[in-house]
Formats: sequence, C-alpha cells, structure tokens
Amino acid sequence: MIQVIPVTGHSNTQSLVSALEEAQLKYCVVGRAKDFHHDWPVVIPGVGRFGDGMKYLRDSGFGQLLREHRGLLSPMVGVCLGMQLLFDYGSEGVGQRGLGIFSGYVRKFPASVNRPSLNVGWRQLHWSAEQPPPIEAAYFSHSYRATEVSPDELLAIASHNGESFPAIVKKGGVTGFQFHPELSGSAGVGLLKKYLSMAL
Amino acid sequence: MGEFTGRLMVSSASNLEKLDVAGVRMIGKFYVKDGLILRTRQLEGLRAVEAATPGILKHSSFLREVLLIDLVATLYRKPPPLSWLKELRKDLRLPITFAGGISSLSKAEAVISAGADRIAVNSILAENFSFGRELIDAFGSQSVIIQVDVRKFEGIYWPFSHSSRVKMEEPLTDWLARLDEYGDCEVIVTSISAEGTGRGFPEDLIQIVSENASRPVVLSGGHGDVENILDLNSRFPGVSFASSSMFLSNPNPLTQKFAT
Repeated sequence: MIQVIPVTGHSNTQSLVSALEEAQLKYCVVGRAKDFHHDWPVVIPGVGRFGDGMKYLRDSGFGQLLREHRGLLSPMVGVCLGMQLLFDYGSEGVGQRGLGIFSGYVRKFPASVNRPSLNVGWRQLHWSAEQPPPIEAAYFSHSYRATEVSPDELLAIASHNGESFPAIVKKGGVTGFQFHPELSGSAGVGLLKKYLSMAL
Repeated sequence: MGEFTGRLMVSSASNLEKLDVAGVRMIGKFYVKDGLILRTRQLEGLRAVEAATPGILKHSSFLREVLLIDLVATLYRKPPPLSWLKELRKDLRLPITFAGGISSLSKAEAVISAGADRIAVNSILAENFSFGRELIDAFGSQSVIIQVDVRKFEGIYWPFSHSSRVKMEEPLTDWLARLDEYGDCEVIVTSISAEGTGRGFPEDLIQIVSENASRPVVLSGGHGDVENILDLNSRFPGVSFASSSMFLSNPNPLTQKFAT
C-alpha cells in the first residue's frame, strides 16, 4: 500500500492519486503520523513553498518518520516540492533545513530580462543511465532547483535558461522528480509506477 | 487517458510535432460553461461545441497542457465547477490550469483540491490587487497565472475584466508594471479583438508585453497558423502560446502535414 503524504494543504494530491489509480497501485492518503508505516512505499507530492512544507512535516511529526524511512525497506518518491524537501536546505522564504536525505541546496533560478526564473512546460530529459530512456520529456512547473547535488545521485537532468539542473535524483530506494510524472502523460505514469514498485 | 507518450523529438510529420521540435509551448485553451466547451469569438460565447470532459479527452493526444476558462463564473458569481473538474482530472494525465470565479483563497484551495494544478485570476485583481499576492504566498508563484484580457481603445491598449465587459482604470503598460509586484508568476495576455478570429496575435501587442518581460508570457488569441507561431517563437524566444481554435477546428490544423 503506497502512502501519500500531502506536505501542504495545497498539494496536488488529486493529480497524483488519479495517476496511481491509472497505474493500478493501491494507495492511502496519510494525514496522521500515527498511521505511518515504515515498511510501506511513500510518495510525497507538493505544491507550495519549501518553508510551509517543512513546517508541516515538523509540526505533524512526518519529518522524523520520513528521515527514518529513507527508502530502506520500501521505495520513497518525492515529486516537485516533495523532491526538494528531500535535500539539506531550501532558500525559499526565510530559508529552512530540509529532510537531508540528499546532499544539496535548493535555490531559485537566477532571473534576468527575458530569462525568468519560473520554468513551466515540457522539457527534454537527458539521462545519465537508463538506456533507452523510459521518457524523453516531462512537464515542469517550478522556480527553484537543487544545486550542489552529488553526480552519483543524478539520474537525469533538464535545462532552463541555458542552465542544466537535476530532473531526477536517486539514492538507494529514494527517488526525487523535479518534474511532475503524474502530469506527463502515460509515460510519466509508467515512470512513477516503476520507481514506486522497484525491488530494494 | 493521456495518450501523449513524452516523445518530443521527431524528425518530421505533423504541425504539432513541428511545434514540439521547435520547443514551442502551446497550451490548449478551452472556454467552458455548464460542462460544455464553447466556440468563442472576441470572448463572446457563440455556441456550445461539445460536452467538455469527452471533448477534452478526445483532444488529449494533441494536448500538452490545458487551460480551462469558465467564461461566465465571475459574471454570474457562480462557484467553480468542482465535480466536473474532479471528473476530468480522473482521466486526464496532463497539467490543468483553471480560471473563472476564483475570488477567495478557499475557492482557490477547492479548485486545486478538485484536480487543477494551477489557477488563473483576472477580474478579482481589479477589485482587490493584494489577493494576487495572497494566492502566490499560499500556492507558490508557479501555481498562479495572471490573466490580462486586452483591447485597443482610442489607440491605447487597456486591460479588461469580467469577460471583456469592464475596462480597467489604468492602461496596459501601467497594469503590467504593477504586476511586477507579484514577482515572476506567469501572465497570459489575451487579445480580445483577435480571439477566435484566427488572424494572428497583434504584433504591436507582442512588442508591449515582451518588452523587458521579467516573467513568462503566454500569448492568447488569434492563433491559427502554425508557421506564424513558429515565426513568433523564433523572434520572441521565451513566449508561450494558448489557442482554442487550433484544437477545435475541423480538420485540426495541428494534425495536418507541415507545409514545406
């Protein structure tokens, strides 16, 4: 049973659970820390701000549980903000420590005239492994990206304003998607299913 | 149901694939009312074309993103059609932006909970400008789009609210400058006079909205010719496009062979 942890009140849970249904994966939306299972897969969707997400995880008790889970017994997947929260630190708002499962810092894209920080739309993915690529392009919607990421943990990159940034990171049983696989067509749903179902 | 497989790189074939290869971001825009897709001209609903859910799903293999605009929600103070949105989300694996009648944080929350990934607002900002900031603070700038419906009046472009019925108090250039207060969230500019005509987006309006643009801009209204879009995309890099007539025309111009 896949546990969906909505990290803010504004998470795109509906898009994600519809994709899980299409993938024929059983899921439950977990709203209380006492219902969390360390040996069940976890997916962390996210829309909103890094600080709000971490505040929710701290106050709810999920933060510590996710650090303990860290994909040891079953897969963990973070999507968009849910992926960014897996890193050491996020600079959105006043700046916050993240879950620290991946090393790296989440910072805003630099902006200049005609080169806005916001990156919205379908982008090509460039894979470091996985040949042939399971998906060649995916839908992104974000202004922040992970930086100083260990090259060993980079599975795919994309680019915005000429800068390459991490699109998929993976460390053991934990996978983070900066894009939205649940909004990236049937291939995106397949990708979500693959990393939530992988054997550890 | 989303049939798009995530392949953008193809060597030749249809107009749609040509747009993909050129990196054009084309949003499928659908004006809706009471669960029906409307054919519009200059933001006036002409006739209902088809039921919205099957209609949009039917187009899903041509779509990359969907913008749904409830044409009358603000005018008639109707609540957003949440159950319909939820039904569509169940079967559509593509990003959905919803616009129409979002006048409070709780309505925005309900629209996102029903399955929209982004929300767009226009009329409410004319009455309560700070609401835009509240939305961005709550949902993040990536989840909020500012709609600006524009018409030329005595030689000057002005923004309009309430489905093009109410002229706002300041000209477009001043309004765009004020929108800078919202930071880098996306702006979708619709040319009211070009909308639904297929005669192209006004060139002088592109110049105004793309000049010193510190935020992403979507051009909406008048698109019908793929070669014109490719030309605009090369001359104004970074702009995106939204069209309804390109998806609703029969035959669909996106599926036609690219003219060589």
